[in-house]
Amino acid sequence: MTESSRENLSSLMDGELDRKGRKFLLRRLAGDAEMKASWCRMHTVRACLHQEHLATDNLVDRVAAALEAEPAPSRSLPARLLRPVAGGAIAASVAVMAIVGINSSMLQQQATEPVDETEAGFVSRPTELDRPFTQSATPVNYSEDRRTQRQRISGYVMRHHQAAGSTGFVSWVPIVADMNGNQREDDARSDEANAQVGEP
Amino acid sequence: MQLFTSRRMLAALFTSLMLAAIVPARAEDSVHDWLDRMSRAVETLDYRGTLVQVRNGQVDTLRIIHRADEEGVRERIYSVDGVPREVIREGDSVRCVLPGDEPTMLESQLGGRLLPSLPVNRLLGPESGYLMSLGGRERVADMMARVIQIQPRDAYRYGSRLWLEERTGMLLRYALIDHDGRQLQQLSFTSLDLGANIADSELEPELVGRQVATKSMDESLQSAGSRIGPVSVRPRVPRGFRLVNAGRGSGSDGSEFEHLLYSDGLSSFSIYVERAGSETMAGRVEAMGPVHVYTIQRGGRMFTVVGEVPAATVQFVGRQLRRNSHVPSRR
Repeated sequence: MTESSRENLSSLMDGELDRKGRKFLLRRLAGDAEMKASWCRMHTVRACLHQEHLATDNLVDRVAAALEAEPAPSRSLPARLLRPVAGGAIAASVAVMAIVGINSSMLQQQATEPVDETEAGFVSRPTELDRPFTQSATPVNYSEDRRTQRQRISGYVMRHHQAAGSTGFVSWVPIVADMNGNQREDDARSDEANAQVGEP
Repeated sequence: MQLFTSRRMLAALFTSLMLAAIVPARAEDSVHDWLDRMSRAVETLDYRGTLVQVRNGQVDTLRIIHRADEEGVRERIYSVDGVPREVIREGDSVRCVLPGDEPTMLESQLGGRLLPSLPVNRLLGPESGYLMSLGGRERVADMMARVIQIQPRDAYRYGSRLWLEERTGMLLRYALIDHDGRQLQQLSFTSLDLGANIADSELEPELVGRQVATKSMDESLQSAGSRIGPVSVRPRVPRGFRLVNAGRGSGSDGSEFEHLLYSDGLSSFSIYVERAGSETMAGRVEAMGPVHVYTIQRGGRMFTVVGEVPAATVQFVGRQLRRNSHVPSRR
């Protein structure tokens, strides 16, 4: 499916197409299986984002199965050892996600790139749920250093809070708390890796 | 006699109708007053307290020290469990010390807030993105509080429940809720010393970041309420949000960015626009608690949408930017 088709689907979902365009696209949608599948996926993602779904065991199982079936990218030894643990954690996270929205722990463990444990910044990573939206664009090319990029975004979050003059501590407390969440995940990951490596 | 009774009935009916019309208006005024009092109390009172944040089954305990005097606001928020972390606010400057083997410090400076003060009248009107109501009284941190309920009308903004101390309007407990009324996060004071004497030493950071990672400096900002000049992008945004201010700044590496601030009166998000390479980067969402970030690179520019809004909101704006980014900017 072409990028312009995806854009059109996205426009249709946002109610941005005129009557003629809508009619045309719906006719195409009826006869194009790939487009239909993409349309269903976009709706599922939107429903999750809007928290319209409650997670079920079935969903958790499906996510776990999808992760299992996914070809593993080449990784370092600790990362490979961690994969089953991360898979379980992600499945659990998806279940929680339906209630609390996208959470950072899922984003961290979901990453398929090598993770720089020391990189600073309190903003976490893209979610699995973003994929259907992101796959329509051209291949990702992070020309910027990952660490610098995360620091840049963290700086923007701070500046936004300052600019909006949000209600004092209400905006800043989650930042302090979230830093701990990220650290806990890093610690858990490194403990798990050590335990696995230490086994005969 | 019958005529007299009918007149009395009519008068009673008229009075009831008048009351029905007046009472909601008074209730709205009360919410308005409570929110105004809260904004003032949170920034202008001196206090020292312990609060817990509950989110995603995780409990974090933090201390907060806040002082406001002629020198401005000074605030220190630090963790008392887990790894040491803290945020220091001093006037126009905010510093976050991030944990790690070598603590890293992020610093941001901004000459005052860009958002005009809360237009509660608009929030309470029929076009508001929220339904607001005054709730009952509850006891929080050994103080009596009044509960305010702010319910979002759609999924593009969060709502909240606020527990405000009766005498001062100070925020004692805060629950972030979604469109369906589900609670996503809660902050609550477990103890609070209002009107405390705060010594300078209490506001000094304990953690020292060895490296200043980001220093975002403010170059030219318009004060809240002044006319907004030309901006490089004007994407379509979810209903109720509008561009309320624009400014420019530069990062630690000297790179300049444009900062556009959108608000619906209660929730807000920013769009940052900066120059980038000609390569294209797919849009992606990142999260920091309730804050969502959407980044996309297209047409030689990088767009970053940041806000304490649901992921759906930054996605919506990001997609609009993606569609419009091929159009040459007018600046």
